[in-house]
Amino acid sequence: MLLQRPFAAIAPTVDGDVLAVLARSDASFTAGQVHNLMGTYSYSGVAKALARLVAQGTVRSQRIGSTTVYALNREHLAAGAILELAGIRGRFLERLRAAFDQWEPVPVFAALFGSAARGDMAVGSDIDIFIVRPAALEEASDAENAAWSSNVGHLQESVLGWTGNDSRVYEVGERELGRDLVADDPVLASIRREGIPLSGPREFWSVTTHGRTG
Amino acid sequence: MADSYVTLLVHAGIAASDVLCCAALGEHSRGQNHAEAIALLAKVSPDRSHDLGTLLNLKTKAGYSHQPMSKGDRAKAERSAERLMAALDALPTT
Repeated sequence: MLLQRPFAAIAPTVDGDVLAVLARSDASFTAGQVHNLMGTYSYSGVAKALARLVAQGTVRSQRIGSTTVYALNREHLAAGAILELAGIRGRFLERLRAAFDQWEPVPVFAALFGSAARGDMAVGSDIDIFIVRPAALEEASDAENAAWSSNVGHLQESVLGWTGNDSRVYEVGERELGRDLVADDPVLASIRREGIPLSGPREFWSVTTHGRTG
Repeated sequence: MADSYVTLLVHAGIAASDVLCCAALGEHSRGQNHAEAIALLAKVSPDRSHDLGTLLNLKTKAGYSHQPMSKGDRAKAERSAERLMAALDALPTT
């Protein structure tokens, strides 16, 4: 699926993307504002979709002066399902965080990165996940390391089940990360810049690049 | 040189996985979908599918990282590839 276009999972049409925009808030929008927020499709395509959705009752329109504004009809029988679908990206992040919380040991840090984090996935995009493995595992038993690998594998199976997307796990050991590596490695730099934290402290990058204190 | 070694181990493990799948299922994974390849091998051997997962994630890491593979990663690649190739020993030779 395309996490930034959840309605495409069931109906890859402009109407679905319009609903996704309107579901974000209780505010009313002009057709032009909806078009700008979508960033895709033509203005006339968006306007026609709004007209169809108004005809279905899922969207309400209101004339204000010479302008027409649109809002999701939150009383519609379909509104609950629309809001549920629109919130898929947030629920995906919650599931990832909940999954990491169950690990023993938990990752030092984990983050969603790449197109899934940026919101510019294409059909066939992988879901990129960065994981920092605790240093303690380097001296741990084979069984403990196998359990860690098993957790990673199960997470990837879960991601496939939840989204239909393959995942790519970029795993580094805690001791592999150093100030210079983070500064010089373009992929780590992009993870630091764009990554969405899933496990571990949000100040992880600050601690890693400026050294640990205490 | 060390990364070339890990890359060869990854490819050996993937090839072993393909043989195991062909022998048991009559098919092997095609394309670049890691999850599908792991799921297919899991039908033959869940334990070996974890080894394939380890190798594929090391392949991912080699693709992302500009740093040489660590000693730990080399050891992981060796163990996973060895277990996959050892599984071939159980296959009939005819």
